[in-house]
Amino acid sequence: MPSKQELPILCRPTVALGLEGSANKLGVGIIRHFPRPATKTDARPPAQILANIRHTYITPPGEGFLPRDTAKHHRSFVVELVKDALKTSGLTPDDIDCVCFTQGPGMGAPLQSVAIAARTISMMWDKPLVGVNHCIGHIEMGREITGANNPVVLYVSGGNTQVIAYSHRRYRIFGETLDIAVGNCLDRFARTLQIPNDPSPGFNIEVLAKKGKHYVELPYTVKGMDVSMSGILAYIDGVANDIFSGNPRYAEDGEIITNEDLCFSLQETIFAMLVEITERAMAHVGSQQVLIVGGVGCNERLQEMMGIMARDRGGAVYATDERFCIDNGIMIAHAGLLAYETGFRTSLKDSVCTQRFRTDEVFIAWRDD
Amino acid sequence: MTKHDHHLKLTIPFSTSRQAQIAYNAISPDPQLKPDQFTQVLSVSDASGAIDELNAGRILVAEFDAASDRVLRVGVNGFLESLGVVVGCLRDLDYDAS
Repeated sequence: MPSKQELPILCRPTVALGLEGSANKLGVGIIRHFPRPATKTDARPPAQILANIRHTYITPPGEGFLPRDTAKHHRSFVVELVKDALKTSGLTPDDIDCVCFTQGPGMGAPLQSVAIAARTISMMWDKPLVGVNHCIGHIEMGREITGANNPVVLYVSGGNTQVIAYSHRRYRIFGETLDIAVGNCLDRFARTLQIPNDPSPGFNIEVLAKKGKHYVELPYTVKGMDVSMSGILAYIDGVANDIFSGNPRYAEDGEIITNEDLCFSLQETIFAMLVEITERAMAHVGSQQVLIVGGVGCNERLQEMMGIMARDRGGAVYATDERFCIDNGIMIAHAGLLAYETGFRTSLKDSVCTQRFRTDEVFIAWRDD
Repeated sequence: MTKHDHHLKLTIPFSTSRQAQIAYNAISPDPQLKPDQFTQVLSVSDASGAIDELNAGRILVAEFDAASDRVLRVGVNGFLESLGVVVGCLRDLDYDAS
């Protein structure tokens, strides 16, 4: 009877440790994949999540997170989170097949601090290292959790805004932001309004927006397949600062425009733009499914608006909950393990992180469609 | 060869040569952000013990070269922060099958 390590990889379960730290969330995850069934028509069993632990670096209201402090946060917590993940999973280092980490895109110092931990762990435990593209992590985890097989993907977070469709072993970018990400626009407006960053600025904007009643007209900037967000931010910052300096605005019904109304107006505008470019991609590609991934994907209003559009086209919208749409380590473990199973490895010299890492740079060897 | 006036050499002892080698491999792949102002050269002490039998292969040697004392301080602090991650992992997560 061959021992566990001797069988070819695809005939036995595989387990990966994943480390994520490209922004202010430090995530550690452990995932198990089961072997493909003998017949190609049978679906592969779902992946098993053995641990998914996250610790977020939260700054005071009105402040964003800077690379140096974020890296310090990650350095302080990474060992503790890996220990917790092992304990939660009940596994030992011997049970792990590979150590996966976010190689990019993201913020330089935070990425590097986590990469050093990954390299160290990989060498201590004598397990292969696998560098993972953060965006691919989101996409593959979204597909795994929702079961959406070949959707148009809207990836929206504090650092990224892309519309993606799969074709011939690549996740191709159909549309994206021309300047800042939609989450960045929301986060920065939260700073303008001095909204708390706990649990996240975007969540607190969503809470305020639900109480908004009046729509304030904002610029609407869709450019073909792409969107631009910086002009909208500049405009709404101007409106807010004008109100703060003693020039209140009034709606048509005479009621005063509140912070809730501003949050509501900002969400309605930028989400409508996202729905438009997503629909455009669906029309190009002939897809009826939309998968929303990334931190902004948690937003219920965005899911609702996208759902209306998708149903109008006879399709459906798929989204995950905050365990998976907010940056996490399990998605890195999952995407890394998919790559590992095709024979992908990252050598130490190739393990340098990169702040810019396009989604379509990754060869999707694990899909054969 | 030193280009600049500000130097520092650190010798960091580990319990085993395996650990010193792990520290070296974990930190050395990353390039410096401003190589014209700050260089960092890492090495592991001679493993054969010909020069220093007691510490054979156990010392991580880090030599820094900087354009000013401020650049030296910032660069060395960065190295020590990275080293701290390695040491933390070695202390709490090491699994030595042997």
